[in-house]
Amino acid sequence: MTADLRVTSRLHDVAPRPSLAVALEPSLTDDIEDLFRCYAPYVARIGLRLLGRRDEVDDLVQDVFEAALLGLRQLRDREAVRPWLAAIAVRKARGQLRRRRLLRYLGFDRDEDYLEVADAGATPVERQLLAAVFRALDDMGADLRVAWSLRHLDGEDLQTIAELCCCSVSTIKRRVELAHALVMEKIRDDA
Amino acid sequence: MTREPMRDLEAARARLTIEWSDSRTSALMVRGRSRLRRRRRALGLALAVTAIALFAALGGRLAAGPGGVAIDRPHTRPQPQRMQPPLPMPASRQAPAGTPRAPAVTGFSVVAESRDADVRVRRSGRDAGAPASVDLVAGAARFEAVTASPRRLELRAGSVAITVQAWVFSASRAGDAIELAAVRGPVQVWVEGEEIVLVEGARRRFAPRQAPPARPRPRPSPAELASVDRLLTEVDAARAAGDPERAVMLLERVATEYARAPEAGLAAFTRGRILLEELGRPRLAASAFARAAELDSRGRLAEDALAHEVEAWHRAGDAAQARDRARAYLQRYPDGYRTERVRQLAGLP
Repeated sequence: MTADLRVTSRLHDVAPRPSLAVALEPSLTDDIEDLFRCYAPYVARIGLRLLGRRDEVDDLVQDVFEAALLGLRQLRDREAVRPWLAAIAVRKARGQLRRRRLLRYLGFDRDEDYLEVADAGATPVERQLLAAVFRALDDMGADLRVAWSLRHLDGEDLQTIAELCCCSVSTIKRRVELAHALVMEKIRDDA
Repeated sequence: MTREPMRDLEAARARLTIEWSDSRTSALMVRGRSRLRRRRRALGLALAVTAIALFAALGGRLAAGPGGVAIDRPHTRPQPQRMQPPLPMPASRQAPAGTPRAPAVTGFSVVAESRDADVRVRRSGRDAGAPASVDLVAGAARFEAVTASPRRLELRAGSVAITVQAWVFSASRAGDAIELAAVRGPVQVWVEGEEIVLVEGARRRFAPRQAPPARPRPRPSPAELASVDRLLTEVDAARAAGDPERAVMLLERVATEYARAPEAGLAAFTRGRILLEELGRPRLAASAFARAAELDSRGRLAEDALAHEVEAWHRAGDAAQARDRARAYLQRYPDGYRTERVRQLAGLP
């Protein structure tokens, strides 16, 4: 135990100093709650931009947390936590958008004007523009919508979107272009 | 809106923000955990019902479990599709004359099934929230729930501790093990965090877990030892400079990148202490102590690390985890020098 004793003296003999508790990046061996607490605002932001409804964001974040609880043990790479959570959020949001589209088709989805999607600091023009965009997005399928939203509302590059959506870059490029044409047409009609 | 909607959109998308707080995350995590628990419970129930239905449909023989003994069922009677209260015990199954009468346990009728039966009550079960607990010192006994729903009972024999929820079951002591038989209705058993369901008529033996054979830890190379030495010097410097965050980060590197080094366990332990005492992050500290116990599983540090892990969970306000780890401590170190403290922190009797 010579080595241990030597280390004991080195590690314990230094008097502890008071310090500010700076948030450390949680490691994979740490508690999932600390991990999730770190990335929950990021997941919520993705949720808002994909769903466009503030009242659905909490449910999405909760769903992502549950999926993360069930699947964290499969994750080994610390760097992968953030994109992994983003991929779960995208998958959950896409499912929600599909359900919403089905409800709309059946006449059960509520009419949404999306005037509240922008935050309190938005100008009336910005508010109207974002509302028009989300109304246009409501008219398209979930895959097109997710691809376009990640590209133009979240500012992700095509490669990242392809990884998040589990498909090729060319597919994403095609979806973004198609969705873009539809959104532009709708915005011009609204204007 | 200008003629260039995309340029406007570039600016407008910055207004797609959401105010988020730690308390909101906490509330969602509590809701998420609770929903997962409900789903797991429903799944367990569905599996149990399916197993019972299959058993009822197939009848005949049933294997008692992996490596278990096949039990002959001399006659089959219609199996209930849902749990029903126990029937009165037939005279032929009652304890032979002269067998000692086992003490009463709240919610259960306990009958000795052998002359040497010795069942001692550890906890009566009268307090809400904690199931009754008994020590099966010797012999065999039969436990029958005397309530309208199956009751939960903690059963101990030496270092083996299981929790049972059932209508009627019989338990016997075999050396250091408990042999359990589901007499009537399904028996749910929780052992070391694992849930097992025994269908009616099944038997299972619960023995102390055998420690895996000790593997000699590979010796670290001189280069690794030098790296560890350098990192520990940096740890000293960081702590002396009042930078515990950096010290924690460096200690984590020692514990993960140089796990073969003799200092790895102590590094993980020290990381836990800094997180707990200097940075006030008990959850991270708990995982660090767990890592220390793992790295030094056969050394004297393991006991201290496990006790500290209980304290960390206690400080984190996670009573369930604290109790769980405290039970592990008490099972592993029944005469440990931190027994009293661990019991006190976890609220165990």
